[in-house]
Amino acid sequence: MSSSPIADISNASPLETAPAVRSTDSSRATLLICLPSLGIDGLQTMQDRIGAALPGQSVVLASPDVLPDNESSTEHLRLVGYPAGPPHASWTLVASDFLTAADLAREHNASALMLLGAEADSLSSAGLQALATCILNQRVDLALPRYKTGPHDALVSSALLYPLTNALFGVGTHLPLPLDAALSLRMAERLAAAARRLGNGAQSTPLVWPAAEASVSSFVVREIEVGERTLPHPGDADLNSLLAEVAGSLFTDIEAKAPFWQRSRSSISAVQASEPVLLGSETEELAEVRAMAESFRSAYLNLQEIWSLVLPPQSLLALKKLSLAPPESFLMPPDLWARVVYDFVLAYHLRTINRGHLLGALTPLYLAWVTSHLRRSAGDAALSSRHVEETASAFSTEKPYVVARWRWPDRFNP
Amino acid sequence: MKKPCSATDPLWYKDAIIYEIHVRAFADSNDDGIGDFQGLISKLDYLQDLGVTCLWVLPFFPSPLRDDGYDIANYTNVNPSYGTIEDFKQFLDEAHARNMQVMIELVINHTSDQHPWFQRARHAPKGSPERDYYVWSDTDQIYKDARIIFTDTEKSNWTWDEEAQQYYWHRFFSHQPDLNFDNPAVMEEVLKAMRFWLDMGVDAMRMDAIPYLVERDGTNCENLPETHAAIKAIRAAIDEGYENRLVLAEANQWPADVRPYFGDGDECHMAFHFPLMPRMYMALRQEDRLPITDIMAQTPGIPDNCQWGLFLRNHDELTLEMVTDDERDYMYMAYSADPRMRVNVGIRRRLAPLLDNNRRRIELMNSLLLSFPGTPIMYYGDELGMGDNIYLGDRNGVRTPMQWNSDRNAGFSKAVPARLYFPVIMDPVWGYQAINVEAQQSDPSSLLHWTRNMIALRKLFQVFGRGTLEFLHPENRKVLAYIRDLQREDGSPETVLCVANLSRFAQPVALDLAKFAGRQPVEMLGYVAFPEITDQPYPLTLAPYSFFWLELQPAAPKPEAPTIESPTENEALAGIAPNSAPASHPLSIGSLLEGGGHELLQQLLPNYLEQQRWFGSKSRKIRSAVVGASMALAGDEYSIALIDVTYDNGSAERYQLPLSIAAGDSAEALRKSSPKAILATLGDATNGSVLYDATASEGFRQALFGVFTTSTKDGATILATHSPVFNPTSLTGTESRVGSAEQSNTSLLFDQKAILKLFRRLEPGENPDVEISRFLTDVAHFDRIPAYLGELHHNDGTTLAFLQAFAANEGDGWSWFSEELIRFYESVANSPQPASYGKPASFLAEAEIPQDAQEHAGFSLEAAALIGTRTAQMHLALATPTDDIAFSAEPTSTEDLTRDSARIREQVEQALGALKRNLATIPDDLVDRAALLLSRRSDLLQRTRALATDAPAAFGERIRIHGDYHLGQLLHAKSDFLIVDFEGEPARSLEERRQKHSPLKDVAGMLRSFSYASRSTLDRYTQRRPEQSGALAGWASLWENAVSVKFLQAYRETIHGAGVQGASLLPKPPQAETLLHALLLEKSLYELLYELNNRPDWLHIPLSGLLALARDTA
Repeated sequence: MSSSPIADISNASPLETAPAVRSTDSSRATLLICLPSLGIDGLQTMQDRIGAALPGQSVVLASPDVLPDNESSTEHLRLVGYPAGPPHASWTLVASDFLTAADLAREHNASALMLLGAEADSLSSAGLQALATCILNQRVDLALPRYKTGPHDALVSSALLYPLTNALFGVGTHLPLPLDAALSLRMAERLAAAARRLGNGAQSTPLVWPAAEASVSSFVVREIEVGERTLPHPGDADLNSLLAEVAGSLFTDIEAKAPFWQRSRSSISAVQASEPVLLGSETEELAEVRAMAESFRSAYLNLQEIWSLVLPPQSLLALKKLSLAPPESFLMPPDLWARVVYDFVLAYHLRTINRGHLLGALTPLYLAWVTSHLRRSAGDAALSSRHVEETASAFSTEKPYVVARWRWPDRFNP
Repeated sequence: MKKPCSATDPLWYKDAIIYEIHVRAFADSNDDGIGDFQGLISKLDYLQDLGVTCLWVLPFFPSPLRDDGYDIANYTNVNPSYGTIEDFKQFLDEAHARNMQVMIELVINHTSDQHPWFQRARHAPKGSPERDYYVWSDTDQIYKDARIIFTDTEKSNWTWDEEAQQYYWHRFFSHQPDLNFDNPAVMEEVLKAMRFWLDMGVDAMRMDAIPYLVERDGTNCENLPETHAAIKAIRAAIDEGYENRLVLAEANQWPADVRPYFGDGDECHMAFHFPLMPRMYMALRQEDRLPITDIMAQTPGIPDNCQWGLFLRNHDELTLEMVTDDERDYMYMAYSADPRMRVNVGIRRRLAPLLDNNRRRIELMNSLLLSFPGTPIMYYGDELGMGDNIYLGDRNGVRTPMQWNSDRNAGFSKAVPARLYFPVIMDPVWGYQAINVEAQQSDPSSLLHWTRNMIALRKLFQVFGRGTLEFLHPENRKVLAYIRDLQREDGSPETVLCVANLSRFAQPVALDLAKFAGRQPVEMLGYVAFPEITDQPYPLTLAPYSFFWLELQPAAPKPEAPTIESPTENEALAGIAPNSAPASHPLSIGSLLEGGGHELLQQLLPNYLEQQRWFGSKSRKIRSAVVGASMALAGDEYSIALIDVTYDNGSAERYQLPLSIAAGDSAEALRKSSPKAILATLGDATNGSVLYDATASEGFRQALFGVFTTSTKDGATILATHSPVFNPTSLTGTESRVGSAEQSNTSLLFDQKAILKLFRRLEPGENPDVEISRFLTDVAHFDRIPAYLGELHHNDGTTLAFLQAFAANEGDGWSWFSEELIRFYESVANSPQPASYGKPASFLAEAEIPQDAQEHAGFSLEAAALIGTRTAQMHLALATPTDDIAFSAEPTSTEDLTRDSARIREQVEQALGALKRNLATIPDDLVDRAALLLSRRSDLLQRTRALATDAPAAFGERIRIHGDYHLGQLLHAKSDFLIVDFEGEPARSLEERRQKHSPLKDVAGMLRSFSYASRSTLDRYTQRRPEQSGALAGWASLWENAVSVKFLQAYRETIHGAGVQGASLLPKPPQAETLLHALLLEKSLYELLYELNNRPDWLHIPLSGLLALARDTA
């Protein structure tokens, strides 16, 4: 992982060693925890878990399951409802969640916040404790969780969101679009302001990018390993529209923060590429790889006209070769993927073609990366992680490419 | 209801890109041939895509349009031709939705004569409140000192009104009567109109013609205190009722006169920088940065919340009011060959036609616009390179319809062409078929794309709008280089180096970037890393009209340098070898010198010295170099070693060399930033120490400066003296660096405030440079030298270092005149021989300056006269009555004249002897002239005899003089000259250099320097044009004579103007002529010897001078 000159980010200590919250000072500070609807049982479970994780800590627990007439409080815990409506409770936190949380924090004079997303009751006490400890005791502004996931989980983040956030904003958090987050009060205010700015945007539930906001503000960011958690499914959205929504939002944020990332310089520590794993002749992965490679070949034939408006000849040539590669050797090099994404970011900025069409044309390329990921990881978590880090490293190495292209977007380039 | 401003940052205008639009000219939505607000709204996406952030809309109010809308007939409505108030509101909202601010015009100096206020006034009785809205008079004889601005159309600022039976006042057209700001009711009306628009959400107001608001008899009616009071009142009303609004002043004045319009940040937020604009064009045409650096040097600082507005072109003529007469003539000749291109006091052309449609020139000028300190203002159509129509009247040639595409009427309007308010441009080069938005949008290499990219790039870096400016002064004046620097709010620095080649040919340049040593320039357009900066001059090569924007970033971390295996401490000192020798650790210079250091240095020094620029005896072979003495500084961290160098021929010299040892990170930093300062590497695998010249260390420089601020202890070897008016503690802690320009000494620069010159070659006793500078500063209070601040000397009296005020300058006088001469030769290259060569400078007759010289060498003549004045002032200062025997003026004695005569006679014998000996080796084309000179030996000797036969009292006085006076000893600074370097001729002993002489010795030196400048530049100029050599020789003589005459005239006038003191200083004219010729002879002979030994190619210059002297004698 590359280090950032701006935001301090490091993986926090493993769960086993996370210290309990015992500081007298921090216990006096009020921690606001915002929950989604979990049902009465789920709420009780969370109360117990928080009580165990944060003994003696003054906590305001906001839940849509608490109605105005049954708000209650004990010595350390107050249960409150959401006066302005429940949180979005989707597969990720959205702008309105941050706005609501900031309002509540002000109302209850909280000094730190934890926003927990859908199915938060799958988080362990230790995970909750690790997040709270970080935000209360360690002068951190933004603590983002990293869950224990399988090699095929959170691939949009691994392919796109993490590498871009890491390379451009110097924040190496693996899930930049968080489902849960712990915030200092000033971070909450900053995110609320960002959410307000997005209020008039086209998206009905605009996304906010906390890691990028923190980096621009020179706030301290930590990634905390919180163990396993159930990840909610993004509903009925298909991959195409989900990718378009997430990538479109991130590209817009990148565009808005160009003066920042154009200036910041991260040190680059390249991760050496490992050899691809030879998949067995009849494995499930190989079948999947075959299908996806075939799908990419088809996309290449249909979309090369659009891609040629966005990508330079070297990338187009590499994609052509990829489209002709047999499934056994189908592998999109991380640096090619990085440059392709950067060219799409640029085309989005320049409005080279309709933005919707542009993002749609990115999906087959993303699937090519996923295909490569499957080949490289072969179901092994360690190999998967290594490929993700190689991808992130390639984005950092290729950052000068996007900086130069952004500054002088001449189509006449290699 | 008041609408808030669309900007949230109160200083938004500092980062803005302003785009100037005329509604009438931009886009026509209703096909009536006139642009309108709906048309403008339809083009907002184009403007957003271009990247501009603020739209300046020219007057759109009801008006008879006799001055393009600046003749307003109703302040609170929209001209029906352009739409309605609702249209304007829609435009405002649409612009704000695209994050663009809107600036409109507040034209309050005058109204249209059709305005109801004026109609009411002229019909109202004299003295009534209605009439008092304007400025009336029964006579046109008051305010006579006010100039007429529209000289082409107006003969007076007063016009008689039959109805009113009075004159009314107007600074512009006679149909634009001036409002009377002495009447409080007028101010109320103005504020009412202003609030009408600000309430609507308008973000900015351009205040038109504000220097002229108030009139007072006996003044020029410009910039009056009452005018400033009116502006303050307007600003106060804005601040009281609104947030984040902007007022931009249109005050076509010199920068110093514009400065008051910023007030203390409580008048206008912005003001146009009018004088800069013509000088940018002048610099480009002359291929010389001087016009730009000169005007910027005259530009005062402004309050933090204020900003300059910069522009290349606008809707008016390229105004030449703020230039000198010569500069105006030059601009007319350079940029408006056809008289139709001129209007009033300016040139009515657009950017691209002015630059002959040369893409690289257009890009270069835009790069300056976008990188200079201020907010750039672009004129509509210039992003395409639109042309103009000089056949339209007034300034309308640059106000033609915007060219959108190649359809009818350039896509501006669907009206029949005859209905257009002005015809679109249709010629083959500039016509809309060739130049239009649509074509350029589809051409990725178009000027439009280039401009869009540049705007986007500028917007990424706040330093361009908010940073400081510092010019660099490379020798090559065709290159303009400057640093923009900003400490951002988050504490991070943003530093950009801009370098522009003003020439049509490729140019080399070496930049002094020592204070950025260790930083890495990254070319900003392509994000390309350039080599890291060291303390050495940074070389760049620029293509014709090219520019670089280089961000100076902290250097990227590099792999660690390989280390050298270290043997033991004793082994290290025993077997040391230069640059790769190991040593013990930790080791200080003190302990090194106490231990085996002397032997070590003895081995290192010969090789090291020979590589140093300041070592003056490179042609001699060093027999030995030993540390004769050393002086510790800052404990034993630094030591100033006095190195005794003995040469093979037995001669000896002493040099000063500060030394120190650095280890670890400090050593690593030195290897990167100052590799040439390292004498030896003493490192081992763990820390890699280096022995180095301590001037490279900030610590040493501060410690050396600290001698000025610490009290002297008994027995101290380094002593400090400073001027009584200088407080050294004021510079304590000031960051320092090593200057790169010095040759024989080393200058330590303390910010832009002081220079501590460390003398490298030491001679026992006081250095004359220090002695004379101190006298001129502390006793004579002469301010045309960099002021003496203090000095450091050894306790035996030897001067070690000299502290002077830093003098910002644009190069030395030699460079300035050389460039002027190149221009002179270029201007006369195709002319026939001049009618007359003029006559040499003389004390016996007032020579006329030939017309040819006045026409082609105007700048040189002015400068020569200025130098004459400054030289005379210097001599008068050196003759200041004093009890100090070293400086008191003395009458010339017979002995003095005899000594002079003998000295020059000896010089004649010596020089002619050398010439005779070398006759076989000098260039063939000079042999005849050399022989001729040898034959004139007796004529030359006659010059010396003339001295010894005259009465000494008539030869004036002897004083301390400069002693080595020539153009290279002048610095050109802020259109003036500073005199530097009073060391005297380096080849002479200190005792000789401290002797008193006639001031005419300096005069002779400067006259010879003019001769050298004219001849050597002619050689340079004709190197590539040998066929012109003969034809231009006559022009060279004319230039030399004219400049010399001008110099001597100004010199004599200044001396005589000083009264009694001046009267006794110079000899009587006949004796002055005799002495001057003798001194010219001496100087020319010195040059002859020098050129014989060093530069035979230049031998013809002193030869010509000597033959002329011999001829005159004969």
